[in-house]
Amino acid sequence: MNASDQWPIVVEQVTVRIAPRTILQDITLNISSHTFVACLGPNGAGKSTLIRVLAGTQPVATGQVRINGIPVAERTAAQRAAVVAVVPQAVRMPVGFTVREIVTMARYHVRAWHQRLTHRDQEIIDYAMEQAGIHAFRDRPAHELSGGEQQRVAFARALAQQPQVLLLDEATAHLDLHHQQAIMQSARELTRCGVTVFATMHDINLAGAMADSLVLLHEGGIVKHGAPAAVLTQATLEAVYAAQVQTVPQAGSTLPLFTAFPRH
Amino acid sequence: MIQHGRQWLYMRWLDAPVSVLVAVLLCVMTLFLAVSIGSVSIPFLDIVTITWQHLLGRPQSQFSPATVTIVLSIRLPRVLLVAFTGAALSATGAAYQGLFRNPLADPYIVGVAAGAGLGAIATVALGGVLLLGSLAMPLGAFVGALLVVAGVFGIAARRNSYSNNDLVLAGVALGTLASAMTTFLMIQLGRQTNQLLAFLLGSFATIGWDAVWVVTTSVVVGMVVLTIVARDLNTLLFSEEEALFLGINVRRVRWLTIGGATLMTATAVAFHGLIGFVGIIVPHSLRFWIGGDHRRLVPLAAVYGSIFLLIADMLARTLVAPQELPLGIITAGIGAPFFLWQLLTSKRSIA
Repeated sequence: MNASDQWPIVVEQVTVRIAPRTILQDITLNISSHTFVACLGPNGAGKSTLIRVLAGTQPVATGQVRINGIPVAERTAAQRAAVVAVVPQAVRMPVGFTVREIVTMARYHVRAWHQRLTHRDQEIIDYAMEQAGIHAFRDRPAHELSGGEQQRVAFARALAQQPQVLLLDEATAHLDLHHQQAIMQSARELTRCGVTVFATMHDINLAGAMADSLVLLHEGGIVKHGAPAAVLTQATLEAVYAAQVQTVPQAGSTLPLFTAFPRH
Repeated sequence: MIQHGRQWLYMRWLDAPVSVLVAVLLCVMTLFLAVSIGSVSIPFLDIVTITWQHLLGRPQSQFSPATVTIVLSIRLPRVLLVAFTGAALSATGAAYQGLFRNPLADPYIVGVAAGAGLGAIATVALGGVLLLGSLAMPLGAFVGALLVVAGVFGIAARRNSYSNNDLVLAGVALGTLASAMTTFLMIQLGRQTNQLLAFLLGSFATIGWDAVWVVTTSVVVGMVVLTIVARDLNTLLFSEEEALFLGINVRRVRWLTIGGATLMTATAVAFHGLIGFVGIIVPHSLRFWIGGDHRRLVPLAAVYGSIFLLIADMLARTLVAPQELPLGIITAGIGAPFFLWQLLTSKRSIA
């Protein structure tokens, strides 16, 4: 055990190359437990790749990722799924499954193929569906739900894994304001139950309002990592996003609102 | 995927064990019917008595030797082989459509059929029939099927990419090459093509108990493997990465599925030739009624696949008796209209 392993997520000098490009360059990142960390950055900055590195599905060229002190590469898929859950972006539900059957897939890795789910598993599944606000349509065909509802099914499925680390990969990017807020709010509440949340996001203002700390990614490297007020400055955003950014003071908040402003 | 209506929700009361039991009973009844029907019709009770006495080794004194021969040596082996072949093709179709996330995936998608065809004709071309007799073509077909599947995975391994699209494309490319070589050899050989044409269109005309035992064994083994992976195939309907996120050992599921399926289809295809459409129509019709969960879908596809092929075989034997139609014509002839009827009457259209 390293001294740094008081952190649930430790990323040490990770470089990811997908020939011929270098997607992530020498990333070092420690994330403390019970926090909501949002990852911002322009398209192609490496946000999704970082999520996949943390989830253990993206091989790294150099460096190491440790979750709870154990390198992700040394865990089997089932061992990883017991600790880390992912809500991918724009999930499409397969045809022929009820919402409940989809959420149940989160418990597959706990049981062998011939074992039935226990009463405890059923409770976990029900609780996850309640938290995600989809318990009312648990018996409906999942593929017939709206995009926002399907995304909440994916969120419930991740919750039913009972993870210690929850990764959201632009999980709310395609949702309307209400659904966006609902998922972010539940993710926030999870941090109070000891879950560490790492979310890539596009909405700078939502990230600033929700996250305990922000990671700003640009061209495969971390530009800034810290409290929202320290990371979100007009100058930094203009440099990273290569866009003109305007700030609007926000009542009741130390953070201003950031809006893109077209160049004339 | 084809978007089905809500029908499958209303079939939920048919819990998996119950629905499999109902289907197996249906299948047994169809089996008896298939043995009973033919140029000489044999009553159900006689079939039971003859089989029973044969199993116990008792003399068949109350039946004519001709009847006993028809039941034990002609109809029963053929009917059993048809049943197991239907099960193999249909269950494999169901599993492959899940694994490859492709509604058009059929049991032959990784090159089994084309390999079997090439293997069969190569054996004939090389004079294998003289050396090995009646088993030459099945053996050649089996070896050919395995070689092409191995080739497909060799390509995937060399590219170090087992992504499903790459596998399917390699299967299509290598399969097309094998088919072209088959056609070339057929033109070159000229005279023996009747037998080969029968093989390529599917035929159960000359079948002995040896074939039944070989196919039965491989289908049982293959079905056990598919039963083990059935649940985890559900997660692959999302994507391989999402299945990994859910803690599924995707590599293990992929190899077990393809291994079990190849064993079943290569053996079956070696004896019966190529029978199309069973692996597409039966699983899709079932999804329409029972939903997509592979734990229900794969076993039920096996049972209804046997029923479907048994009925098709009965029609092939009786429609223009005493002549026999190739099975492939019947499976397409009744399968396609039935499938289209389902498409037209379902509430949704194709996605």
